[in-house]
Amino acid sequence: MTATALTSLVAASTSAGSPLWYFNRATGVVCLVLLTVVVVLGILVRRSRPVGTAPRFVVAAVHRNASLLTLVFLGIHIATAVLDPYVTLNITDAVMPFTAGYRPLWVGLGAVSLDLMLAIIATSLLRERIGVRAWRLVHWTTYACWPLALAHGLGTGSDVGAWWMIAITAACVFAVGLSVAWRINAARTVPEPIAISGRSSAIRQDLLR
Amino acid sequence: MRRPNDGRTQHAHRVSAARRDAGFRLTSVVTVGLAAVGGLGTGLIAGAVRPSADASPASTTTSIRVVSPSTSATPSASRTAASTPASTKAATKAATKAAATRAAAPTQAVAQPPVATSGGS
Repeated sequence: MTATALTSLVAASTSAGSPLWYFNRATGVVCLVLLTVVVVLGILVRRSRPVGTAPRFVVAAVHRNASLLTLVFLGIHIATAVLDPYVTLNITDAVMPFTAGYRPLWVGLGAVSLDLMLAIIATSLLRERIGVRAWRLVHWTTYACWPLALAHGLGTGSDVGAWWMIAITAACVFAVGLSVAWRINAARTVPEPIAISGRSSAIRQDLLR
Repeated sequence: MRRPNDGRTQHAHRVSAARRDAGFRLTSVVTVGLAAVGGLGTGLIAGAVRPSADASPASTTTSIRVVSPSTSATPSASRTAASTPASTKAATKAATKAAATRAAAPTQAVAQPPVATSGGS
């Protein structure tokens, strides 16, 4: 009887995965959605057009808080990937691109996206020290960070074929595409503020926007 | 005097105090909402994908949990092996044999001889 129970246990463990793996997949999806929210809000807050009835500082604050929240879920996503016994990944693979033994290209794209995100958040926190120009230069890499994260999910995601994942991915692409179009349209109608020279004038102009 | 630029105030300094307070409140509500949606979404998706074992990373392989008679089955003890019928059969057979060995092993409790009480009045 014990042998039968053990055999069924082994059979169950072969057909079912680890809870860590499920959480890894789930946090990956949530990270993509949150990152999309961050990117969309970042695009919307940049322009001097009001975003609905919300003041711009609210949109900016939500953008910043959402980015930190994304980092939290990203931490869980990486931790579960490292701890899960299904795939052999270590913390170095999550930070150093294309060094992972498991799907190096797709995991590497995720690592590049993570590195960019860390750089963006670090420079945002140090914005007062490094100046607006350097901060903005690094912040432009967001436009690479989001597609890389999307490619990472599409390439290595286990649920890419599921209808709900297709719907979520399509919604994310649509939201970012729409906000980029909105921004391009706003750039045509509202002239870009001219940075005169020096750091203080750039900050002043940013405050007045 | 230089205006503080800590992020919270950089866009807020030009609006009235009441609107600013309402804005900060709205920011908190939206942030907490996003966190709740994220947490709830994680739970829901993790629950939804749980039964779909075919979506595991090793879709062409099967994870075999090797159970050692001496150690308990921990996550580190699991191994991923190719899902050829032969290896699956061998692993199942080995696990069954190990269980049978454990079941047949003598128990640790050893019958103690009765303690001879010496003497007596």
